Amino acid sequence: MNPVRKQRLLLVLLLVAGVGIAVALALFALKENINHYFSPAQMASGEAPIGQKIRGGGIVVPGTVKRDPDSLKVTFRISDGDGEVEVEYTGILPDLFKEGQGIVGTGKLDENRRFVAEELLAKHDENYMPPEVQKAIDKAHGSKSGDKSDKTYGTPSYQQENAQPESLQPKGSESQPLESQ
Amino acid sequence: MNWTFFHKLGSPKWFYEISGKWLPWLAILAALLMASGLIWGLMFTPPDYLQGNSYRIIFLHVPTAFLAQAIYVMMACAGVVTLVWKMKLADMALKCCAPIGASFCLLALVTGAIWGKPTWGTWWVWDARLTSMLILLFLYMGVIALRGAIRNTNTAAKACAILTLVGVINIPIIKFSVQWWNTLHQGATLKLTEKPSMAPEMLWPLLISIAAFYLFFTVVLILRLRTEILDRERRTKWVHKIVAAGAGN
Amino acid sequence: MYFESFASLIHMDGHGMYVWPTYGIGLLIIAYNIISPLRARKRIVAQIQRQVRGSQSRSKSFSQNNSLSQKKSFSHKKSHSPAADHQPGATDDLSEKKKAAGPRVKVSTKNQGVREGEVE
Repeated sequence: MNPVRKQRLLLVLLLVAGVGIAVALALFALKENINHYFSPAQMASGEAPIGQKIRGGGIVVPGTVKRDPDSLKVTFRISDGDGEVEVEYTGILPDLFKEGQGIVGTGKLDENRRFVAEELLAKHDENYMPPEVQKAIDKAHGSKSGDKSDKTYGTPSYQQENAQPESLQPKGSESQPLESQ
Repeated sequence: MNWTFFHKLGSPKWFYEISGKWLPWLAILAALLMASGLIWGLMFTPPDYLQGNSYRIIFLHVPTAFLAQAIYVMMACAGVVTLVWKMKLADMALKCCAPIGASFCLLALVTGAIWGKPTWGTWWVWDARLTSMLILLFLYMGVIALRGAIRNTNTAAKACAILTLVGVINIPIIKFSVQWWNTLHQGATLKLTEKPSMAPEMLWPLLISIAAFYLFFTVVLILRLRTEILDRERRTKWVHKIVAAGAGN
Repeated sequence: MYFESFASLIHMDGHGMYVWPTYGIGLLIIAYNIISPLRARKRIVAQIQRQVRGSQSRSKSFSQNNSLSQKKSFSHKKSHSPAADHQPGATDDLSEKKKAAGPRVKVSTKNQGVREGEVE
């Protein structure tokens, strides 16, 4: 390559690298402000601030959903495998709200470490499969553990031992029967 | 290394002739794949166990999202070639890619928003994935606007190439946003090193749709490029010949 | 087909009102990406054709003027005039064009200039 072009190429690469470093630094600096996200374990242990607007999420623990008969208020517990926290929400629940599925909420933690959500959204993972496949997995899981009240029932995609507090995105792929806990 | 091909590629006339031969076949293939992928996905796949029928938006959303990013990367490569080798055709490619990429980016955002309502419960959320895709749309619009604002062709070429390269840092941010931050948007279903987390009867129409959109992009890019070549090379004999012949294709 | 009836295909268990408008918008974007370049091509080709015709008539009138005013070199000039081997656009410059064909060429030069075609 002739030297003029080499020099231009170098300048171009320097430009891209420079921007990259600048953005990386900016994002790193802002990390604290962007990532006001706390897992159930962090909320339960006191790591999360009380009275401040934060985001949090986890998997709805089966059997804990209680709806108030006179209002839209609903309470339930969420878990990430490490800890649990009680959530209170008043409003219409998202379509995909289900026991054993994930949610993400924005709200405040009160003195009793109860997460009072102002906004509640359903979070789903990256797995897609037809209902029959899901049922087959459930059956295989159910017959393996023999315990239908298992926390992980109905959630083939969430392998509890892989669940990470920072994300609800387990690394495993689908269609593999769960190990019983 | 044989650079002849690379230098030949720099000839707009050569590109015009070659692309003219390939265009009809690519167009037919693109149309076939697009129709089969989308119709298969819309009507012949089972619903998702969790999301039901709303997941069918995936056959539009994923291909356009992939393409919005891939086109920008291609623009960035064209930008490097423009700045380093000053190849005219590279700048033409950069110019022609921009509106296509912008429209796909817009479509990805809109289909995503509509999909989000019945699944997440909201049209929009300021998480890292959605925000960085919106920034991508702004980058596209910026490149298009910059092109229009600068009268001199060479200056416009340099400026657009530089802007594109400054923005290319957004692409890895988009890709890794779902891993680096806690996002509402879920992680990747189609992964490079692992099995895809999608049932085969859904996966096939998705892959076909992705291929269809890549082909469709190629076809419409060639269409735009050919016109751009005629425009910029309008003082040459070969262009006059084509135009005089009625410019059939 | 997965759906038993056309009605259920439209309804999609309640999600039809999300899925079908989405595909409608998708179709619009696809159509835009096809129509826009085709229209641009028509426009540019027409522009270039006008420009070529414009400069051809200019070169014709130019050579006619020359042959009328310079009778001595009449035959000499004529052999240089045919448009076939003359590259109409190759030696153009704006002032010559403006002299020649008036408003028609003015329009095309306005669009041609250094500002290459707009993005549609």
